[in-house]
Amino acid sequence: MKKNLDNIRNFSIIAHIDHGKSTLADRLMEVTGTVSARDAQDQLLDSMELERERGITIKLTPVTMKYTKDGKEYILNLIDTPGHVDFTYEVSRSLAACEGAVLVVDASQGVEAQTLANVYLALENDLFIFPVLNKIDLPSARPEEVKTEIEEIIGLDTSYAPMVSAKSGLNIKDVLDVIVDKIPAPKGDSEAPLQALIFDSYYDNYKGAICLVRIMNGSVKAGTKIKMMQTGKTFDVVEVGIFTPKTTEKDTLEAGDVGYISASIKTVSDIRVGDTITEVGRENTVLPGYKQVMPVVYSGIFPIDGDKYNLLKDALEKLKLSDSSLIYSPETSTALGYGFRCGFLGLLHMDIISERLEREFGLDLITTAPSVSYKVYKTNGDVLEISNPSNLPNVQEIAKIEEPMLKAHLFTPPEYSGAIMDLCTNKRGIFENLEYLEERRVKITYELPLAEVVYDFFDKLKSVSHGYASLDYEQNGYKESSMVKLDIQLNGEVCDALSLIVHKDKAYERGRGIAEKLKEVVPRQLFEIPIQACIGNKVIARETVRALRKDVIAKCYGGDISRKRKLLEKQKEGKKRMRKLGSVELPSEAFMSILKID
Amino acid sequence: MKKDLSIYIHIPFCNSKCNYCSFVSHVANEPEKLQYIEDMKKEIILRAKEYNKFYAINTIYIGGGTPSSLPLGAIKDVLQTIYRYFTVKNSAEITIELNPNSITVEKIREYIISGVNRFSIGLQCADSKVLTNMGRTHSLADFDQTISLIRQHGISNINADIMLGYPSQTLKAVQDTINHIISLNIPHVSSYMLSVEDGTPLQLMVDKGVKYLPKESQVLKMYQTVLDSLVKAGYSRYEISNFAKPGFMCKHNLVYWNRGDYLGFGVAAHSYVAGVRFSNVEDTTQYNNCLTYKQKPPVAVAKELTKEEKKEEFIMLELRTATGLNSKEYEKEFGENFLATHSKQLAEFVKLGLLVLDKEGNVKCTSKGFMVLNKIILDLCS
Repeated sequence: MKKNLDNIRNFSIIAHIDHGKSTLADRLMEVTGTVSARDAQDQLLDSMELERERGITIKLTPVTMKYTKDGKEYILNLIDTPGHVDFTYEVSRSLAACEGAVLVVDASQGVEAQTLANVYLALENDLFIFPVLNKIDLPSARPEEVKTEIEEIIGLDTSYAPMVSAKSGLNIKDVLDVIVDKIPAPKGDSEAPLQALIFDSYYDNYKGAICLVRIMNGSVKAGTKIKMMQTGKTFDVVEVGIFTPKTTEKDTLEAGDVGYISASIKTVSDIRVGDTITEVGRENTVLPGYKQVMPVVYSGIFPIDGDKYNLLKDALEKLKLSDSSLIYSPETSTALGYGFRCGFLGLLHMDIISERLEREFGLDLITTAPSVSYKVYKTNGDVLEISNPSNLPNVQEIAKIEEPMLKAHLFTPPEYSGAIMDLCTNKRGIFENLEYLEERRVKITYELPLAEVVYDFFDKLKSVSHGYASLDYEQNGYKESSMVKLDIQLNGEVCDALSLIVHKDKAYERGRGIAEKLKEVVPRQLFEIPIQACIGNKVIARETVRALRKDVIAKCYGGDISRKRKLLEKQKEGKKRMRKLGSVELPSEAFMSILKID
Repeated sequence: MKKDLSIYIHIPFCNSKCNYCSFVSHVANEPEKLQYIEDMKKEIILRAKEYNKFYAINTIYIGGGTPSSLPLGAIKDVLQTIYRYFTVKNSAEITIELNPNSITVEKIREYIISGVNRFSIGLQCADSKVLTNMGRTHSLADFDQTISLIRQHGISNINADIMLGYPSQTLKAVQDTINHIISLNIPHVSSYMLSVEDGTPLQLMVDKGVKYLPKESQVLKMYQTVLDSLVKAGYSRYEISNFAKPGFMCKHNLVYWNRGDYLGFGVAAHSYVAGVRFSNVEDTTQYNNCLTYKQKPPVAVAKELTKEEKKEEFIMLELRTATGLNSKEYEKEFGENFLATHSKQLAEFVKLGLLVLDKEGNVKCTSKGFMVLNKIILDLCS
């Protein structure tokens, strides 16, 4: 029998950080009785410890709720989304699994920058969006003004916008009512061949890799032989179910449903976000919008304690099980020893991975400066992809270097457009277009080198626009550029872990910055240590760490050798954390403070 | 023949506590002091039973704290107990530390009658403001008077302690201090740099920014001044922090650096006998309990050194002396060629002008090397 989809609503929540997305989600679950208030742990959907701490959502956790309106029971599927540009593609796939989105706006803060990128993403996916004004009970709330802002800046009808306080639970039912009344029911045919959109995956220690899906057409149940259309791999379904928010087994998932498929899949690498699942022998068509996720940022990860290499290797293998966008391969550095070259979706992703490695696996790590992948054309005709500065061939062998480019769209209120254009020019950007989307909204388009965006672009953009500008980008091929390798020499020896590929116009500034910082952090030794920043043989910046000239000359009191011994033991312990580079000893902390982007 | 043994006596009392001091000492009343002396006598007797058969006492050093803060008669009591239960050589060097704030002619007389033949006096600095800042309660005049009292009794073997690098101390103050000591013809000087120790009032003041430590270059100049002045005046630097005119080296200190045997009596006193290092409990009540009720030595920690630790101590202690580390002795003791094992580092240190090697196979610090000895030791031990 064809399933009636009238009682299903699939939606996501879009909000600026701090505007109360997770709190609202918690309240919706309480009001619908999905979880009782007593069991509620703050921010239920942010399942990782890291997410709760940072207050950001990295990993999406969907939830299915039941809600009765006018005597009719509705199934509401909430698909949460991460709010960071590193994960734009994942957000777009989650939105593609919905028919509508709730836009949460803080009634005192008003519309903020970060919100907009996701709103545009939702509009691109033809979602129905309606605003909710949150924190209405704060004395500083100014709902009428904020409504006008929403109408002018985003162009949404605010006449039926619920006015809520997620924190106190005020008017939460209004939100549910609007979801039911305004968001369209999904379309789809439960008797057609299976067509399911993968919008996420996760790794379960017992069941293996799990697909999170929205069934577009057809149905799936235990025993169905499924096929991933991008990879062509086939699996036998072991179990299907929904999130309440814990996994709850069901007999079948049908068109319109949101849930999970468990099929003894060994690693999440076999599950590609955006891929279409169909049934073997009864195949449907591929859903649009699939992109293969490629790392854009690379860096070396090394254990501070060289003995922990194998632990790091195991840890990366385990993380890879649950994060298919992470790639890595072994790397050796003269300064840092054995480690791994890793590829990430962006800087936040890089941060998350290194923090998870440290936290979940108890590792102390040194992470080298992030780099993008360059195309290096050699004079002998070879073309290399180089993401590790140490692997760059000699200048004489290089015909040209191409760097990855982005087409960047910056959305901003008009008053910041001047500052943003200055920033882009400073970041070697090439202006393409400026257009007014609305009276208060400008879209500026630049071609920007990825390397510049990776370095410190977001922080600068936020600061010049007071947080109002948002960035969306797509990759835009490669372009020839005057890149040079900047080496740092300590006492005449190149420290490979500190080498960088930079544009020649930026080399001087970066070189001087690193040399100055090194001077602060390199401990004085028994000899003078020259620090030099060089391009090839040319020294562009120089600092000197003067030789250590005195320790404390202390008495050896009353035969108490133990004081001396304690001092020696303490110093020996410190020395263990030192990296030896030629004759220079460097504490790991020194590396970290240099490699940290500021 | 009996082997040489040294004795260290720890008196954990002071009339007032200096701001920089982290040693085990406190201000106490007379009954507590007298009880402590009674306890210590018990410890001496216990230990004598154990060691007197094999050892004869070569040096005794009474330190603290402030030994001169004890009531009249206490030092005599302790020394006589040692004479009764131990064999003390006629030539033994017997030193007592004095604080110029607690000296009377009666005390000096008592010490000398009891056998003390060497005095060590904490001057620290000749500048009265610096002394006040340090929390010391004596003046330069008190120091001078103490020296003349000792000399009136025919004793010339005297040491003065000086400290360098205290907040507010100027280079001139250091110069004045050292010139004063030279002009008084005091034959032995201990000169060491301030180290800010955990839990001291000074640490608190430095952390809070109330006191500023002098710059490294300044402290270096101070040390250089002391070194130059003393050498010019005929003193030799026989150990990293000790200077003496001919015939006035401190035998007791040499025992520590040559890893000789010594027994420490009193709270927190350290001992090293037959390859075992041990130290006493730090609390006077606990000390009393051990000796009164348990009638056993009040040892808190004892550790037999491993071969590795012995090597480290050999390096750490012998490099402090002017005669340096004797690589032949090292080889005899550990069966390992020191020069060969550390050849690469030694070559580097010699090249940097920090160490010299002589024909007899001694490794010695240069004056530049003494300045960075901690780092040299660290590199040789790891």
